Amino acid sequence: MFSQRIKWWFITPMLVFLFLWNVLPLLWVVGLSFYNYSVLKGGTPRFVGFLNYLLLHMDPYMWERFRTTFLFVLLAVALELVIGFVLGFFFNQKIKGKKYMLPLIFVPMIVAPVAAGVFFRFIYDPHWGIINYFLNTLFGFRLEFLEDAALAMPAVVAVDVWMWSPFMMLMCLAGLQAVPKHLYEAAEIDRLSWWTQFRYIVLPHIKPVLVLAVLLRTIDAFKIFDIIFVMTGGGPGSATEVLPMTLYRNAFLFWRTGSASALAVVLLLIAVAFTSLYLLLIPRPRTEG
Amino acid sequence: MTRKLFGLVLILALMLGLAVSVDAQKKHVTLSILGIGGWTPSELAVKMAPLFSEYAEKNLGYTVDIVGDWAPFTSLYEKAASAFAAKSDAYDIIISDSQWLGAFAEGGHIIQLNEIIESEPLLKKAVEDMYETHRAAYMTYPDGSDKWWGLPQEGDDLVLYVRKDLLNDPKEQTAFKEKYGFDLPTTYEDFAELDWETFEKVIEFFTRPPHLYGFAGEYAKEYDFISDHVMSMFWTWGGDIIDVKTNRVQGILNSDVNNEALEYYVDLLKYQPPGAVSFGIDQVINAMAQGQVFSALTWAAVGAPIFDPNLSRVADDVMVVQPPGKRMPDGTLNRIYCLGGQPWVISAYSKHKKEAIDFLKWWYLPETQWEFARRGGNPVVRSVIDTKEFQEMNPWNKAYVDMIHTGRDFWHLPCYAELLLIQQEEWTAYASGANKDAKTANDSVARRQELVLMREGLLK
Repeated sequence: MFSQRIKWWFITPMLVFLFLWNVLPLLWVVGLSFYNYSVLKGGTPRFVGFLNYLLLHMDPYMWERFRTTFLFVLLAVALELVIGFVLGFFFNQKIKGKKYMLPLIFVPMIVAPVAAGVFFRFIYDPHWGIINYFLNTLFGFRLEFLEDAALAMPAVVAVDVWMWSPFMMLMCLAGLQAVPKHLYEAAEIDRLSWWTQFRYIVLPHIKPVLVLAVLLRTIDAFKIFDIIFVMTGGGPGSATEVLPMTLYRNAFLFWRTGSASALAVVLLLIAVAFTSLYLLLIPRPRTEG
Repeated sequence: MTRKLFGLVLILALMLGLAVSVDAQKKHVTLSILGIGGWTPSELAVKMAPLFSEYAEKNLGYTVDIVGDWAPFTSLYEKAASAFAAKSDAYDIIISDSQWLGAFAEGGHIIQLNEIIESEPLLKKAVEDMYETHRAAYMTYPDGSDKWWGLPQEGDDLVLYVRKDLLNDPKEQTAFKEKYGFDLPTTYEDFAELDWETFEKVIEFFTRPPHLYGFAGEYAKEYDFISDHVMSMFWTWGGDIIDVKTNRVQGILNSDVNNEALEYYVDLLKYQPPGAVSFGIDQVINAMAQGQVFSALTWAAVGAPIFDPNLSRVADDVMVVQPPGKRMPDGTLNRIYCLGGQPWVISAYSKHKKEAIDFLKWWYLPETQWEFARRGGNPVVRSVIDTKEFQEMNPWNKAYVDMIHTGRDFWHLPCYAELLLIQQEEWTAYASGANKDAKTANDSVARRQELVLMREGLLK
């Protein structure tokens, strides 16, 4: 009886904290999303039901932001997965100097995104950026990476890939190292091809880790804000205007609190959908019977 | 004798003690100003604070400290609005941008100044001594009303910085005349009569990539950078951005003349350095100061670095003139450019409103305005700025004063931020090639802005 009580004594402060810091603000945001309210204008919030959601749905520019965001997520996560997997596979081999190379590969992950954004702004600069220096020296032309609407998205995706491919590599490496060695040995004896080994031994073992890595990166990429804010401000035009930027502008520039809350709820639901998808995709542990 | 001496010493000590105690009881106030980080005129308001401290101690009977808090242009509005939304007394005075008056006034976050100005002879005199353009831009909301919410902290307008060393080079003059058949403009007066068509030939002549380009203007999506310039072109071309009576935008902003002006402004990119499509204020100043461009269209308030030999390669080679006008069908030269500058407003949540008003009264004293000018600021009091002494004080002063008469400001509507972002988005999309033509961009701006105005109930 006493041990039951003391358990609650330990848990309760954390639950109270969680309620005050997560659940209550979340409920507050959901509530605000049904009101026409601006925290800057003040006044009494006016209940409008689902109108804020309806207006989001009817706004063609909002759909454009969704497309831009999904494009960013798709490009960034796919490239990070491929690069991360290749690097993971490479570092899973016996390589001389691996323990010195690995920490270097992780460096981009620990750079602050704002710093990375500023750093790449210089790298991409049409005048003194190092990429344009080489382009101009070798081929006699320059590219306006962040100024050209067609190049801006690939340019910001590249920065995200630079930052987060090491994370994918780390996850892949962890998964690859968990594959039992005897399976490889058996495959060698059976003279299985590289592809067959990969398809039937490696992939089933690393699939849960890969799915988790993709899920984490997808949710994170969906929240992209800092890099784009620093590098392009969502421009040129709206070429890199992703949903978190739209949310930020609605909330803190236009001060349309109700509308911003509705968008925040939609983004939350998308993140929940991704998580549910993960739970569906992840192989359930087999019960011995 | 000893007793008398002791008594005298005692009395003196008591008097001294009393004086010290009265002094200790003297009120002390800390005024907080939120301003634009890295913007000289804003920073001068705080740098000149010790002068106000002396003044307050001597004339107002209290001691005062002034502390500054800063945010760059691009995030100042959010910082100020966040403080207001929280009804915070963190700032007593806020250096706002003129466009924000509506949003702050409608929310009840700043105090209306009419009665205060009326009851304070110093302020009343100063306001009467300002140009109507400044009163309308920095003080008034709604537009055309007599309601005053701010006072001009500094005046500013778009001016043209040009390389006088190149213009005065006889070889350049000869080559130019041979190519175009007329003389290079060389004096302030020549530029005062210059139209865009002629000026374009000048910038074309000095476009010699990769080391020299003819022109640098603002095209960036950040804050209001491209809007300042594009709207100036609209007005100069004879167009407008809104019908102030009905708040209608369709048919006004996307008029043929505005489409032509936008196309013209974007077309000027061919005379500018690579990457100019993302140029904001800093990049334009840098391009000019580093000798990368022959001319730069930017604010009078940012002239100082261009003339600072420690920062500029062309410090002695630049003159500041009025930007070109547009030759109208009747032959007149139309020149209407965007006003810069900022008002300051008093927070409704300030606990030191009286002292904030004292500060503003001190700011508009002629000696303070002169000191502001000496330190590189742009005052607004006509008894200062209309003098020859002021206009010769800094290289940009004359152009600053001359451009006041041709200045026009943005809308002051509470939904300004949304209206602004729409045009920033559409115009930068056009400049960067994402929007196929000027008409499409302007049509889209007009349609989207009217939707916002309709939603806000402002469309009549």
